[in-house]
Amino acid sequence: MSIWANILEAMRNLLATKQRSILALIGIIIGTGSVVAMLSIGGMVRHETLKRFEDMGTDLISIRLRAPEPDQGLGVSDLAQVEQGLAPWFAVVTPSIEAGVWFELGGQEQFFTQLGSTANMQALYRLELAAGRFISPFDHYQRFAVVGQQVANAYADAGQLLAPGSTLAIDGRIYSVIGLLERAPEDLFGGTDVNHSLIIPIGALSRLDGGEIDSLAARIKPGLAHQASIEQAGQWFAQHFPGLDAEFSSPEQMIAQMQQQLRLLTLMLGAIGSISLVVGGVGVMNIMLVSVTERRREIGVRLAIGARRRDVRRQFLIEAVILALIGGLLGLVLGALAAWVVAYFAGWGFFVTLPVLLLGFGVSAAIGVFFGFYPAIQASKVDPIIALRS
Amino acid sequence: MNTSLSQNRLLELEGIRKEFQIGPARLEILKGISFEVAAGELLAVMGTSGSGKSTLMNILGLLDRPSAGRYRIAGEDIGQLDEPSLARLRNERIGFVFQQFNLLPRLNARDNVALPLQYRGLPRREALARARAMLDAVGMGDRDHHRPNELSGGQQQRVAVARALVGEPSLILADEPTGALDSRVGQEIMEMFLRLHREQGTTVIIITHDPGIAAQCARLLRMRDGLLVEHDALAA
Ligand SMILES: Nc1ncnc2c1ncn2[C@@H]1O[C@H](COP(=O)(O)OP(=O)(O)OP(=O)(O)O)[C@@H](O)[C@H]1O
Ligand SMILES: [Mg+2]
Repeated sequence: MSIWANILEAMRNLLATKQRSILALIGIIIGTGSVVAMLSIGGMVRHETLKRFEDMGTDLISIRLRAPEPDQGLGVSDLAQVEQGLAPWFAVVTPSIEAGVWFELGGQEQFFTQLGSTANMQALYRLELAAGRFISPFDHYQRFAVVGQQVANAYADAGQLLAPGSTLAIDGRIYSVIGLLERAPEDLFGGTDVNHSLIIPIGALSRLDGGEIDSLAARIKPGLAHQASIEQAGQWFAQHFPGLDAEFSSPEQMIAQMQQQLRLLTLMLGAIGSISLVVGGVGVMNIMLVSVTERRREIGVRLAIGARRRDVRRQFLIEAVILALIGGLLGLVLGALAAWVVAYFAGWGFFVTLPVLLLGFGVSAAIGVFFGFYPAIQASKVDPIIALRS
Repeated sequence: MNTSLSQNRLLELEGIRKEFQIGPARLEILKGISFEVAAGELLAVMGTSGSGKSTLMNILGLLDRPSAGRYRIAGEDIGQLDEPSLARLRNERIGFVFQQFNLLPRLNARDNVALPLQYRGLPRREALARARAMLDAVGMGDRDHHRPNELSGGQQQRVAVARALVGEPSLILADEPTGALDSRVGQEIMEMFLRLHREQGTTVIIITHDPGIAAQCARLLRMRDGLLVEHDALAA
């Protein structure tokens, strides 16, 4: 008997016991659904994180600096040495010193950051200017400010339109505006939001705040392995600035971290998935065993008209697999739906990949084969004489 | 038995015994049965209930193996064959008709009849075409899409006969084929066997309790208590 004839028969037999079949499938539906949801959500998180880094480039590295002991930090005067020392791995390095300040503007409390940096910052973060110019290496200690978009908006709301040449009084300091920024993408490393900042020549800010450098941003040289470069740069720091804590973040790490945060969800779905699949498998086994008992006479007749025992075995195995696949198919739909709901509330782009679907399908087929095997063997062992006598 | 018959032996049984284990006891149901059937014979088997007719039929039809004795079909010793070979022989050379019809309830008449051909490996399309033709031949062509529970007993038995014949077997084994039918319908079924015997020369063995059916067969085997008690040519 051809495989198609077998499949056709299996469908017919399953249709004859629809309700019972569907009930037995709940486990497989939930199991496959969980697996598909788990993998889809993981895939979407990865994609979503990568997409955010796409604007910035995945070669962007952030280095948070902390000096546990006083006077061990990195000063502006050390910058030249650091730039040179990191040159084997990093193409561009830019420092930042941050000084946050609350103040009142047009009756509203505002929080802005004075961000001391260098001319490199513009290229590194791919900042676009709306007007004027960015800070330059020649600005040294000048109290110039390049204004982030949200800052400019806040001033506009308070009735003051900023333009190059305007002056600002913040935190008891006077800055002259040299440029205005377009909206910048948010900092993926969880650092300061450029949109709420005034970018000031680092010389000017360090002089005002005596500051140590809070962080560096850098781009890995094209063609270098990211992780290895980060490790080597870390060693360089340990060697030359032993008192300094340099904490590197890379997009890869950020993705790994986000996925780590999803681990609980993944574990949970994985556990639900595997338990449900086993329960579902037992359900399939049970329904098939019932079916074998109910259809003993049929099996006897089939043997009498020339079915081999392995024909009978194959027929029942195919039935179990199709049963499981129907569950798998419904599970795929359920899993995709769950992933869609998560994507909807997380604001991610929803997608399900073919490998995930194939895996879900494959898992349910495997369950069908595994748990359908024993009933199929039982079916093939039916004694036609006894079956036909009854 | 004349020489032309013995040269043309389809079935040969020698000292066939069959025991069943019932609880702790072994019960001998067939106690040494020997006979031959020539190709093209029409044969009735009668005997009291429990005498072992169906047990013998199962052995003849290769559904069961004897505990002792030798059984040959067309000269081939059945004891030597493995399960798939027996299944193939059943499929190609033997057609069964049962008292309870034994059609598969979920399949329509045409699919029931096509089943032996599908197990033979014929493409579904061809199997269905031949099944249709066979249903026409037994006068059930207009019911080919009916399920068994939509057919009368006589109609179901016609479909069952079509299923037994569709593979063009050389041996038909019918275990009380008219036992569940009223005598008129039973006679219609009997006439199908007679025609088959006459026109195609198919060997037919019919187990029956009905003397009227047995009387229409050329030869009668009578069983009692696991033995052949009478082994004679009737009517002829
Ligand atoms: N598989 C089996 N296991 C145990 N005993 C069996 C088995 N098959 C048949 N028997 C016994 O063998 C005896 C003969 O049974 P069989 O079915 O051959 O009788 P029969 O001549 O066909 O009777 P009937 O005319 O009622 O159909 C019975 O006593 C039956 O109980
Ligand atoms: Mg009987």
